[in-house]
Amino acid sequence: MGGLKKAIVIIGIVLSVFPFVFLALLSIAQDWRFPFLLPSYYQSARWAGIFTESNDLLKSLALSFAIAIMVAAFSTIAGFMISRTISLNVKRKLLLFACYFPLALSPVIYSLLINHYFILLNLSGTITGVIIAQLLIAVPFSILLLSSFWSGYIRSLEDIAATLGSNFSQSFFKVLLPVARPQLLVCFFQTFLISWFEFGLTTIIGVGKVQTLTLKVFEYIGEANMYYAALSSCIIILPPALFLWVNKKFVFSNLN
Amino acid sequence: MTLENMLLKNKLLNRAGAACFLLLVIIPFVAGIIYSMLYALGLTGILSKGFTTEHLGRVFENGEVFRSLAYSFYIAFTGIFIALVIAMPAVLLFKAAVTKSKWSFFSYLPLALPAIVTAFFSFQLLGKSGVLSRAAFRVNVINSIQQFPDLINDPYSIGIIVTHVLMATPFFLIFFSNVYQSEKIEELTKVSASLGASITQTALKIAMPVLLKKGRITILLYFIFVFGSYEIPLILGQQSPQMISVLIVRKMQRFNLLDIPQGYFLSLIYTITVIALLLIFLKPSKKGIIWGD
Amino acid sequence: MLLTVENINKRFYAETVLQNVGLVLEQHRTLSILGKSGCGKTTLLKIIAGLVFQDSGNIFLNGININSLPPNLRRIVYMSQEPLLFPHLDVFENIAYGLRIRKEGPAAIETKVDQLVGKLGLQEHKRKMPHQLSGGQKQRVNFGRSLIINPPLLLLDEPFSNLDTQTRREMQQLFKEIAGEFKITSIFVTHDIKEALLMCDSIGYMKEGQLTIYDNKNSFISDSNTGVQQEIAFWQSL
Repeated sequence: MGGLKKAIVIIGIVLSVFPFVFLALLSIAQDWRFPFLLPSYYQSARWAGIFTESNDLLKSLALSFAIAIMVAAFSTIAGFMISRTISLNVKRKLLLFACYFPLALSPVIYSLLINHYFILLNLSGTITGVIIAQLLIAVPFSILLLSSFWSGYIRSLEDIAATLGSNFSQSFFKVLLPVARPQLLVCFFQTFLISWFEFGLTTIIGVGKVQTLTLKVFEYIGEANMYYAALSSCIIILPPALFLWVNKKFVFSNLN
Repeated sequence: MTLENMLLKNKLLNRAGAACFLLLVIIPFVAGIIYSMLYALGLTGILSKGFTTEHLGRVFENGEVFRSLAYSFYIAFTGIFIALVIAMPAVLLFKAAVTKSKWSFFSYLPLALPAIVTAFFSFQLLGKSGVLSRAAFRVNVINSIQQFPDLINDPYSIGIIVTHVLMATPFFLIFFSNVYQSEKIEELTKVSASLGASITQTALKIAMPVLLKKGRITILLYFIFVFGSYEIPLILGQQSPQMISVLIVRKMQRFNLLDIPQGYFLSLIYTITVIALLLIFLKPSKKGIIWGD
Repeated sequence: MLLTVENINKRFYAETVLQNVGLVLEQHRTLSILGKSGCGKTTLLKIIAGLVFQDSGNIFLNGININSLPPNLRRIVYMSQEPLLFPHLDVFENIAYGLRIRKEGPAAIETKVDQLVGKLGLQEHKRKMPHQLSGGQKQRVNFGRSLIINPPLLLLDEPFSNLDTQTRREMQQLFKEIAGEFKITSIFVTHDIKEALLMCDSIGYMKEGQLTIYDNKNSFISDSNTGVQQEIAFWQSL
């Protein structure tokens, strides 16, 4: 049984790593046609070209990063505040249930439902519009993720801090925030990834003008430019792989 | 500061939180549904001529919506079923090691791949000129590229299902490993063994039922996620039938303006389906969000 | 009188939790309140601390009506059953918390905390985090955190009920020593008869939201409602 288990582990590791190795190889392949299992030539110029060529990959990278940071920051703060309000409400279970609705919908379909309003507000095709649209799915997510923080235990900590002389802002900055820090970090990184990975909603609200990295991947696939599709895929998976290395909880989310 | 001032400050904070909740969660969702209803019934939109059920009729006419919904259910059900069949026994075999051992990093690693990249990878893996095809050629299973079967854009949607399995399996592996530890299934297994049950009996009567019971909400949410998936069928799917998200986007983005009200109606059907699934299987109650009571 | 509580009433929805509750407490004295779970003891303490608002009634501290004072300005420290230490702060910082928010100087804080840590027998644990402490050690830190700011009034809500018998006895002994040394004024709430009698200068009994204060321990012991007579009868029957 030990041998079988080992074999399964090895297969699992290979399956886990293979996509990354493959995409990395494809991104530096010069010529890789059927029936060759490995590229004929390699070149690093494509990676170096991110910073020099006019393929807009650097722009897309910066744009995706900026949008993701803003979405993560706003949704974490809003989620923290809103989940506190909900926790004090008698109908908190119903309100939390309501958060599942925008979250469960496919983002691309949700964006189609609300696109008209973005057009009316002149947000269609703008970076601001994309950020707001992504917030509409990231905020319900962060509310659900952070709602478990506001337990009776936290209320008791607040009470204790108050009787020791803390006013609201002292309790908030010296007790609540530090205690909430691990959960806030998890929320920040996970909402970052929601934005970073987003494609359908960005395509609809951005009207193709807000060219994030996921849109570049799709564009290259459409052009049958597999090498650049692989290159932009590698760039996309770098931050989450890094987050994983730092803390696995930053990447795994379960809203049960 | 007096107690009244403190309470007022608290009240203002709560009101701000409530306003943000309405603005960011409730209003957009409700507004979107209302606009879709109005458009689908011809009450608004570029070609609106007043109330009509003509567009609703057209949607049901050629049966495309039913095929699309059924197809989406098929993909979601098959993909998740296969992922569960792989993940659950793996968790029973490896237990906490999935998330706690020195190799656990590799359990999490696939989560770094978004849907569009996984779809692209599947395309490169399963396509006629893909990795599997080349490997088959190398070991003389096939002699030419044409002999390799269609695994992408094929009638059984093997490519789409495989891609969803590639994404869902690591997720459920980690999830069930966490449940295994939190529900102390290892201890329950020992109790079961001491009562005379075999390994298989324990797995089927104790471990798996506990995992499934605890995981039902997560499985449902993942099902809904696959059901509405967009990138993967967009890249790997055939023209017909299409998964519901792809069909809706196609209708809404075509140059034929008469398709747009149909697209909105399809969006409503999809939204109602998702809400119904949530309401039936995920009802809130005094005890919390529970399964179907 | 340090504390005067007059006609406190509190209802939660349809349930009356406190009914015309009143008490007086002199300085440097401990009032024990005995009562079963759910009789309203915790609600009373929280109302005095300002954490819960009464429907009617008044609370006077040193002759001043504190009804409209928020909890952070009442200088009444509430100690709950769970030690509830701040999980992100070590023992030293947990005890120093009240001094830091009052912006005392670092040197003064160091001196005061070190002294108190010594008295509480926590020298070796000064830099440990709460999760590294035993139940008894946590409760000592809880004491330290409450005492270091010299509160006029300390409210103890069944502080030892989660501890094992041995640790409980040690903590009861420690409290009596510290109460004497620091001249603490406190209300000590418990559901344990022996503990109530041990810790108090004066004693009360709470039942279904109503509080009876006894003139002395003998009248408390004689009252059949308090359960002391039944306890005595049990031991005599063995």
